[in-house]
Amino acid sequence: MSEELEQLIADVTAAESRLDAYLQGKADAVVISDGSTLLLRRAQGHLVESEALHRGLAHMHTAVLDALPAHIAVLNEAGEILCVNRGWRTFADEQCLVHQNYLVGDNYFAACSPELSEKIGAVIRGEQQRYSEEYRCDSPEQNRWFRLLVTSWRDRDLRGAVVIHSDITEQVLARATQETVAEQASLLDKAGDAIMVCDLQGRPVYFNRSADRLYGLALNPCFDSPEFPAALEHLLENEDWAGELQRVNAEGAPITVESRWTLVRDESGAPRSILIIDTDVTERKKLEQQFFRAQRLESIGTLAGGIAHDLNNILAPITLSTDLLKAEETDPEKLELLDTIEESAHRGALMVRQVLSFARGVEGARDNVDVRELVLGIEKIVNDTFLKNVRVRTKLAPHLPTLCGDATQLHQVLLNLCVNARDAMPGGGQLSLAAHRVDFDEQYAALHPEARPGQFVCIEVSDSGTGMSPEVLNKIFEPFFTTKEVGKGTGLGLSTSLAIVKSHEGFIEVDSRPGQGTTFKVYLPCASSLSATDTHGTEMDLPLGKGEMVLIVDDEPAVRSSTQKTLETYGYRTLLAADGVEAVATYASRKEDIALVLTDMMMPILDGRATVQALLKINKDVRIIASSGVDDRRAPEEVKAFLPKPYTLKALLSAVREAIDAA
Amino acid sequence: MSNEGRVESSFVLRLYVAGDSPNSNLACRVVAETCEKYAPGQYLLEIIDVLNELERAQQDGVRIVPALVRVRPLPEQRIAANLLGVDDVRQLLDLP
Repeated sequence: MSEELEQLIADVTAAESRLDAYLQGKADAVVISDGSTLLLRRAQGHLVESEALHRGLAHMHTAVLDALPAHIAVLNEAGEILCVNRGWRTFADEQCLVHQNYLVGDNYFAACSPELSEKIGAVIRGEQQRYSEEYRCDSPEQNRWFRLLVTSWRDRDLRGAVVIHSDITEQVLARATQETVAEQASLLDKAGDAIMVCDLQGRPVYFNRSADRLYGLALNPCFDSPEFPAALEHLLENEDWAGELQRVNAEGAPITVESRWTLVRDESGAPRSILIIDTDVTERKKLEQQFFRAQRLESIGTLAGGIAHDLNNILAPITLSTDLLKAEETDPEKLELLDTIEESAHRGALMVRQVLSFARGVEGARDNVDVRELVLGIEKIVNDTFLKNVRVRTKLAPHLPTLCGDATQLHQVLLNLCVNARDAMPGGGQLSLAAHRVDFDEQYAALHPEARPGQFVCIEVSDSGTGMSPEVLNKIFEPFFTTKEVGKGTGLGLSTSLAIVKSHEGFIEVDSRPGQGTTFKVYLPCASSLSATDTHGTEMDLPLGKGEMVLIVDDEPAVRSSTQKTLETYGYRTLLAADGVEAVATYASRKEDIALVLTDMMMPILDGRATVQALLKINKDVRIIASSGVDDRRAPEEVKAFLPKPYTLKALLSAVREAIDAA
Repeated sequence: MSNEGRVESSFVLRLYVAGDSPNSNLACRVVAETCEKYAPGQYLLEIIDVLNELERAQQDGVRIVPALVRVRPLPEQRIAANLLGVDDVRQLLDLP
């Protein structure tokens, strides 16, 4: 048996060798007519080798595919799963998808949505190179996100798709964190405070936009902080620190910041960085200072109110004495001197009232004011008092109309403008005063919000001085704004001037440019242009006296005499008393005749209040009007009428009439 | 192949091979290179593995593999394994 087998094998081997020799080793196989192929030995060997090689390669491919963290499946054209990697298998196992068309031999399309099947089909057909999408697929334990990538493969006539699902949860979460951080950063950028995170050496590692704006950290990421070591020491002990620091801003200007520091520790509890929040309080500090100055000024006002009365009393004898001296004097030179004294005393008294009016608010008389006289008066003062390097030029239009207002206040306004003009010309220059009439029509008024149609007088004060920048120009009417040194200007001049002009129903225009001088134009309505009821109505409706007796009590002779003259002119009889004692005495003796007592509240010896009490004891129905230069409401309750000084004709007559008729 | 109806190729050739064996691989290379060199765009070459499609080899009467069959233009011609060389292929392509 074995012998026969040996022989047969030898025959086959010999036949094969002959066949190979016949074919000169150039053939690999011969086709046998019974329908099989005889693979020649050499080709067989090669095929085995090559198969082994392929198997090795296939193993390597499998290893690579299995090593990839993604879930990979290869589909054929029909969507059948040809092979999957370990990731895919594991995932399918975990998700219990084994029976849901997820393994080799299953049709993947059956497991996909129709849309996705269509997308994969498009890739397989070559209509689309690849398809990818991100989707969320949560497991019971956590939120998960995947990216699906479909690419095509092609081998000769065969084609299909490679489907890869990769877990991108970490990326998505990282992206979300980044977005959150970016969002928070943008929120921090919205904050007005400068927010920084510094390392323990004080170098900023993070800063928000406000911090950059304040300190210019983007360009120069460090800032000097001499307090840093001390603050850090405090910080390490107490976790936080707050205080006020002097720093330098981006423009190099010194600023004051309110700084709050908090220590930030890392996970192990070691100090890692410092969170710093700075608030720029420079402006607030300035405002505080201004506020303190305003308070000081207010107390000065109160003080001024307190001494105003005394000052008036000091000035009164001067006026009286000059009157007496003038009556006796004939020398024209001395008379002129006396005139000057009288005028000065008068002006002084007005100034006192001015201080009071500022302390209380602007409220002035309304008399006819001659513009020419007003401007010439200012010119005279300026010429007399300013240094000679300031040349004054005055240009007055002929036929200037009359204004209705408080001459002293308008005087103050113009003088204030002139002083400002002088201060704008430290090296001297030209100061021009001018006045002319202007008529505003509707059209002009529409274009200038302050103006209204009518006749106005325009008084101009211009200088050839330094001029003002638009920034300064914007602020000049603000109270306490001054470009002058501390102590030189109160910052109240122009704001008071504006208040006065406004109370006269006028307005101020300014024209100024740096280096080109400044022109202030004060527009005041002409007397005739004011509402007629104010001026004419007063004269018509003045309540007249019917011969009643009024006792005038005032320690100021000028007040006494002027009031007496007024009341007598308008139909009253009068008695005078220079102080409370005299008043009480007079009233006691003539109480039947006296219909009304008009008393000043601030008097030496027996003041207004005491006087009123004494009068009430004599007659509890006595009618009294209390009057005072200081807005003093401390009059006794029994006194119903109060007449603030200085009073106008109408105010006086109305008050007197009312008080008498009130009974 | 489905291309046949679409492309009017001057030559339709069939190369019979036996899997991934040395002479077959050589024949594949020689035939493909020669066709591409001398008759680019004018030929259709079909490679048939007798290990998979034995019936076609029988239909074409191929006995020795590799073998090249010129289907068109007629008359049909074939070259046996021992004759496969560049010149043989050129001859089959009617090149001088």
